[in-house]
Amino acid sequence: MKRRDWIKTVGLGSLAVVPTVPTRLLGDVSSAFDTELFELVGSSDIKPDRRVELLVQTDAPNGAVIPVSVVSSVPDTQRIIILVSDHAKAEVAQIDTSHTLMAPRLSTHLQLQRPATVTALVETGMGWYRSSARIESLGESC
Amino acid sequence: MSVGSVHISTRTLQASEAINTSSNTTQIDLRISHPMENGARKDAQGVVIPAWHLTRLEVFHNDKKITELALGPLVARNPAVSLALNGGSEEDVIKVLWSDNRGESGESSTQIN
Repeated sequence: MKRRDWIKTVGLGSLAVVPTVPTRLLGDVSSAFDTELFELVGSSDIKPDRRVELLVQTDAPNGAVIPVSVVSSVPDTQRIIILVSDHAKAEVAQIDTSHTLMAPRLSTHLQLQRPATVTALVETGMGWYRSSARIESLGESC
Repeated sequence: MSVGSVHISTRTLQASEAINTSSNTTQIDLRISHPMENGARKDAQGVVIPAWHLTRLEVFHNDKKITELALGPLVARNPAVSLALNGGSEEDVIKVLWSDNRGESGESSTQIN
């Protein structure tokens, strides 16, 4: 069923849809996105990693509302951030997972205005890791 | 639901869903009534609808703060947010405080069941 046609993108696999350009942190996205990303991360060293599991739908059967879920199995995950490209404000949500009670996962729903690349960032004591997926179709609004 | 009303539900994840299989995992599902206007939409007269969205959630476990979330204007209307606890026992109290970019705020709590 299309509504349940989830795609699962992880780490290195996402490089196929987010080509790396040396002058950009995440390749195909705008410089405004890069600026906001750098302000958040304070580093251009963000490694794609299979342990950052990004679950997102490629289409939006209910208008432009898109479920997104991030689960990190990177040890010592302290923070998860969800970002989107091609919108005025890149940061969608972030959660502090540094408390021992917090499991490193976050789910919510996006309301996009146009196709975009969704990126999950994970901060650990050892650095930043990411996974990305491109949403090309937003379907029809209700 | 009125603006800012919060519905909290919890459930214990099965082993196959859990991240840390050495302990049980409790999923916390939040549903918050809020327009989440992103500031980019226009009304029927073509006037931009001002941004009005949640900016912060704070989550407490038995009155101890365990996390906070920052939310931006791209989160969908009446946000649904799910997070997970390592552990968690029946009758533990989960409390959520919210605030938005207009300075409004509120809270809700429930027991894990």
